[in-house]
Amino acid sequence: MLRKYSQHRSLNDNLKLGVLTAFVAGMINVSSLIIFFSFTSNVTGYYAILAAEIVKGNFYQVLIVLSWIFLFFFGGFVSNLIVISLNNKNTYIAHSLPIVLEIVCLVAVGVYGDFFYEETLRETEIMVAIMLFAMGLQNGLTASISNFSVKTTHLTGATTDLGILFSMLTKKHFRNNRAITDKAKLIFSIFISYVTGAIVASYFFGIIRFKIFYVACLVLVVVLLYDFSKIRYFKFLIRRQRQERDANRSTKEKEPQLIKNN
Amino acid sequence: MRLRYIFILLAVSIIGYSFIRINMNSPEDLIIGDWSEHSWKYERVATPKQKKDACTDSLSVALKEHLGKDLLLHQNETWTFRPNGELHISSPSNETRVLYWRLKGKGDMLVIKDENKVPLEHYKVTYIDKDTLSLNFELDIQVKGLASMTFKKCTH
Repeated sequence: MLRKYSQHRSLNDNLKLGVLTAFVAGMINVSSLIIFFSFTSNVTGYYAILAAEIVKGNFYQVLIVLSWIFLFFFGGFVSNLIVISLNNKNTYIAHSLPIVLEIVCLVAVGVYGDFFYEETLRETEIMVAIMLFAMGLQNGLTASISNFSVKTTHLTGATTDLGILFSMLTKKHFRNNRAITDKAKLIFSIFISYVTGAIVASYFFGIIRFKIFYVACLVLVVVLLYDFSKIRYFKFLIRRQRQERDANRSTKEKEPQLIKNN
Repeated sequence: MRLRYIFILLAVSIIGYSFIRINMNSPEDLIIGDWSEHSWKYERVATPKQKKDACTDSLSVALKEHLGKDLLLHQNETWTFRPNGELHISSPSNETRVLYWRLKGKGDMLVIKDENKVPLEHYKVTYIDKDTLSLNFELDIQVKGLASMTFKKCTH
């Protein structure tokens, strides 16, 4: 899921990454809407709000919206900076570090919300900002490592792509095109996963409140550990193969000696 | 662009943001004080004909009373927003009820909670300065649309 980069990624890699991270984004977006009356997994609407607030002359709101948009942008910036700086040294670390940062942000929001949140406007602004940064990190990572084919925090582009792809699938020659069907599968899975995450969060938020952020973090931990466990498993397999090879070699070396002795 | 310039730009932005933020009154600061209802107006209604008629005229007193009969902010005369989150609403018979208020979003959603801090009503803050507060809310009774209430700050 995280070990491969750009063109080396299979549909399966992108599907797993897309489904899990879209589920998280859906959860976070709905939770922030319920708690803070603000969206945190996309910024398209904020550009419209920014323009409206500039026209109205509400400079406080202009400043807040600008800083939120900036933090989403900065999340993407940090994410890709980590990927391109560390990719040559260790791909797994380069791709998992933005997820670790995202987990830190979400845990911070969860813990603060659970124990300290007094619902002041300043707290709301800061927590929304942290979540936008976290979503920027996630979107930057998934887009960066999948060569821009996986974007999981908003569905505007996905819905457009899905409309285009579904219209193409009405023609037989497009239905036989593997690349088109694969893309449709990927986007549709992201779409379903995002909506499922949103429904799960809106249902469980009333029961577990801010602990919903820990659930989102758990899903992200699965993303991290999936490849980590795979790496360890492959290392184990390689070690076992080497041991078997060495054992075979030593028995082969011993055999002629035994023959000579006999 | 070299990385250090980006981080210098980031640091300057944070300092600039903090400076402006400290010197600017947030809606949370502006809302503190006593407010009384000043006027009602339709912002959006169901049909273009109604819209044309309603944008210029205020609602009739009778309709206003009917639509607002369930709204907390309309039932009372003076609303005192305290910095500790308490909202003291005084009725014409001088009875005072203590509720709770919070601003959400980017300071544009006013949430009113009951004594147990369970949300009761929420309003969209469309305008606020030191003297005027405009709130919008959805009417979902017999008349579909968006109504706007304007409050003026009381000077004692």
